[in-house]
Amino acid sequence: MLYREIFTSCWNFTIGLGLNTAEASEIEMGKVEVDPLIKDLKTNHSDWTITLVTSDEVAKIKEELKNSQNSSVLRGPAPPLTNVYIDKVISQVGTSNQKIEDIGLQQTSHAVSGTVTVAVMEVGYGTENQWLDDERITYQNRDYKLNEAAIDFNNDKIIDAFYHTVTFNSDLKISSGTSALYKFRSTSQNYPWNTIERTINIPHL
Amino acid sequence: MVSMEDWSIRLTILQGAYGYKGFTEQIGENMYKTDLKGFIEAIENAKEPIDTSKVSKLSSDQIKVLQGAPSGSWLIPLLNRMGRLGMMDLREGLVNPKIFQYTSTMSAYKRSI
Repeated sequence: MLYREIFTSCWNFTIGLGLNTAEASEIEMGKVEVDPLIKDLKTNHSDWTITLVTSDEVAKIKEELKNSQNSSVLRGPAPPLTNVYIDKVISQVGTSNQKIEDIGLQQTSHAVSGTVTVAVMEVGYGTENQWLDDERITYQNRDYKLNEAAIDFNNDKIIDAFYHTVTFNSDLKISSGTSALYKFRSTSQNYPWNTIERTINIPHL
Repeated sequence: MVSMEDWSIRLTILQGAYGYKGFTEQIGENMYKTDLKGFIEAIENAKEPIDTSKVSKLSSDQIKVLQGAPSGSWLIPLLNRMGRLGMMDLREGLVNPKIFQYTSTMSAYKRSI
């Protein structure tokens, strides 16, 4: 759930920066030193894209925040992790030869080539980690493209599951004629704090 | 501009998470092929609903749930577009029924070992 945390912190960051930078007159009056703040941020987080927002955007963000506080929110505790399964392995992603394989209980996928996507269903809230062989798959690792979608089983406005995809160039990551082991491990964010791990062996053509 | 790779990822999520079955053809046991170009063509160029009985839009509750994950930023406009075109009946809920089948199968499998 790293991305969610990053997303949240970036969101807070944008708002904070907006309030500090957009209204120049207020900044001068309040003597808020924005430039050193931005400089520090750029130094400490070289991979962040720092965008200054306009007064209009600040007003819009404030309005959105006000509205979001008035609207209903997701209710109830986050469901614990109950299941993880590898749903699909897709080969030659984005080409006319793209092939999708439903994995189910299989332990080895079809032989892949080109860009590959692995899709995983995580039922409940877990803190997940993924690997391809010994390499950790993270948002920071540009070799992997990660996506995550939320699912509500029963329309009660509580997210019940997350559908994850990881996409990578198998021609670079798996040598021809060999296999790599993809692993998804998740630990429940709530009681009983259980861990579920699923793996799939992915051979390359 | 959305790349073919990103369109493929989007279609994968629509199929796996929300049970969308369009533009998919079975080519073998557990193996499928998608008409990615056909899907993109429909999303980008269709002027009239493909199935008027399925014309629908996301509810505010569905939008809130979709916003609970990073892909919500592109899923919300994409699903609304599909709803306007009647490609998917959003009133039927956003979940792949396979999840329930699979969850019970996994439970039975785990009990058996």
